[in-house]
Amino acid sequence: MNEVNRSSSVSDFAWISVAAFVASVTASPASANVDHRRQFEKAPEISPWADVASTSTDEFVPIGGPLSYESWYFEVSDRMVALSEKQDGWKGPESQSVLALAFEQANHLLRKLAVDGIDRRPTVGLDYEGTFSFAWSDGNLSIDLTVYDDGTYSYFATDGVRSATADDALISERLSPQLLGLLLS
Amino acid sequence: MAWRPVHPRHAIERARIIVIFKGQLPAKFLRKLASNSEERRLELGFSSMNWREGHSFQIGGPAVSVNSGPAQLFGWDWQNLSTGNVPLETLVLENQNLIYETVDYTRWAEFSSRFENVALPILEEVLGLVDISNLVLEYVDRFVFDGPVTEARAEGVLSETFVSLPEAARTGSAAWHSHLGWFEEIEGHSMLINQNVDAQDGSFQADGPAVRSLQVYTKTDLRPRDYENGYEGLRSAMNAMHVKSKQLVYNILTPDMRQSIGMEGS
Repeated sequence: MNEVNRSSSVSDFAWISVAAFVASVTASPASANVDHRRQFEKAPEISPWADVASTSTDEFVPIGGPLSYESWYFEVSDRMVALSEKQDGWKGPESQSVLALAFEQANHLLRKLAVDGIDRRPTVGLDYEGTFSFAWSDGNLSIDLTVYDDGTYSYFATDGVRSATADDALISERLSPQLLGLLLS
Repeated sequence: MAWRPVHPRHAIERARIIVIFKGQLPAKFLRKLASNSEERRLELGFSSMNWREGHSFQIGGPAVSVNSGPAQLFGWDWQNLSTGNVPLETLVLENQNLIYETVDYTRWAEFSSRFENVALPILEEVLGLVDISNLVLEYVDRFVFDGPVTEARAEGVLSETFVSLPEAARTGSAAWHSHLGWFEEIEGHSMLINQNVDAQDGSFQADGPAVRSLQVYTKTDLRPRDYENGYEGLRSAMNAMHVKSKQLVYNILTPDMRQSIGMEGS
């Protein structure tokens, strides 16, 4: 999607402070930019401590918009942490412990799924090669996805009618519409 | 019931770099730079581009004057959106600052490298016109409590050496915050530090149950004195700001929480 919008709005934050409390003790800048511009206009060489006073109650306002995660995110993350403690040979002589970057890459993908409104909870497993795999199985829906330590993942997904597959999808890029469609179905 | 970092093995929810300029960029320059950078925007994965416009008005003086003419361009932003249109990365260029923000933080080396890939070509153009006034690095770390918000005792996250909290704050029955600011010197430059801890109630989803979190906001705000080669002349200071930020967070956490985000021994 390549879109050009005309907007200057700053979105709210998903983590909402207890309103009355925050309203009573913090200034809420219209945007982070306004806040920093105010500092810029001051002369810290003359009175640096005045600057501290003006910033000490600032509230962080994200410019990137609200952020929220699906509730399954912690449960799956916990399972990943537990699996990452397994040692070489955890399931026979061929099985390896988690590869150095495998946890980070798998969590990177998991975070993206969790912010994309996918309410289907994946199950997570550790493969013999020390990489993580995620699976969804619900009725006709079946998705198997393996995350590699080089920042790529592969998957096969089907609901009996539609299917999607990829061998070297990049975690840093958007999910394919086909895979997303199945995850959201 | 326990506290946990918002991500396994790290707690960084957002990171942001802000470069504030000594002077104001003209609208024509901003427009031209946006146009010249369009190809790079798409290559870098920023699928959305927004102009930032507004009306100017002045209050005070002999009369209140309101400019009711066409909106004035004061900047633009790029957004790298997730499939569900959640902004994962944002780059903002306004007439007095450049901001890069991500919720996709993994580690410093990748974050700083990505910032340079995205922003340096733009900064090089900008710094041909204006100088750097402030260089700011901001982290938002978040820790979340599994359980009723009224049982979220702050000492599950914060070390005993952290500012002594009143009983009402420590026991978790109500929200609280602690905001600190002070100056230090780093590599010969003056630096403002803010370390703000806020107990915030939120939810993972729009209609989800209330969850207590502790937000730790760490800001290092460098006011460069003398430097050469634009941003590159401040790269070492930026690395030092990261190390300082990490140390600041380390200092206020319990040993268990340090361990859970991989900081113990660092």
